Amino acid sequence: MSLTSLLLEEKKAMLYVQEAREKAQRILQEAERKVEEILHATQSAEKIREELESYRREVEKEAEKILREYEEKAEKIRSIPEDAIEKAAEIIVEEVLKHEF
Amino acid sequence: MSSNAVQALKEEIWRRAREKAENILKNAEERAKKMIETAETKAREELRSKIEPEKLVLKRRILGKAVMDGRKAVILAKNEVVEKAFEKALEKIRALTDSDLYREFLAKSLKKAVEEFSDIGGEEELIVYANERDLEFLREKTRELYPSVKLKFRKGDFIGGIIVMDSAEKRVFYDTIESRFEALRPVLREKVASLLFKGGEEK
Repeated sequence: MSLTSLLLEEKKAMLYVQEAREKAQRILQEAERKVEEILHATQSAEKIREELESYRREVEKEAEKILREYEEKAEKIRSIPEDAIEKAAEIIVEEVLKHEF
Repeated sequence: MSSNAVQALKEEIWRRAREKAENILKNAEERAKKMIETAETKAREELRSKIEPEKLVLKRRILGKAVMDGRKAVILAKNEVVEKAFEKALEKIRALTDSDLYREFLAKSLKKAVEEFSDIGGEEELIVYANERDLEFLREKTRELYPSVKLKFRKGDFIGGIIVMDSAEKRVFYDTIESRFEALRPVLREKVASLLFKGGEEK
């Protein structure tokens, strides 16, 4: 009686392990499917477009920064002190009136 | 076999079975994770090698334009400042017409004009155009320095300086403030820019 019940229990346990094997197999199959999908995506024009678009946004931010720096430089130039312009004007006047052609 | 021993054996059977099943699943999950990670790395590398040249072109185009636009903005700002200096210089010259500096220039200009037309001889009359305000000064100078030269004075519509021509209007001597400004502008732009911005004008 007890040997029979032990054999039955052993059989159930083997079945349990077998189910785990089948589940493992499904996990690996699913992984293979995903791998295919991932590798296939690199061939897709859509993926390439997305990547380039995201890179473009990144570079545009960099470009905005560069442009801002130049604009700040331009603003600084515009705010040059009046006396410097005055001095430049005096040089022009002197050259215009004194230059020998 | 006692029922306790049977129970203990059953538990041992299930403990081993559970352990084995867990290992099987754990191994499968680890393998699956590694497969996906490897694929992702490979995919990233493939994609990178495929789009890297395009990225480079994109970067050069966008950043190149930003630098170009930025430089243009700086050049425009410098031009504005230089133009401001030129406008101020014109204002100054307009205000300077009574000064010794301007009178000296006018006298020199008249001398050069007379020298320029010296081959014509004393008979022919020369026409001198000048700003109305300068006519009297020029007449006086002529009387004082060139009494033998026949000059006729006329009002000219310019800031300062003179225009002299023969009676046939074939030969012309230009020495107006405006023409001097224009002739000297390129050189003066460089000079003024290097004074104002130290590094000179950006090309």
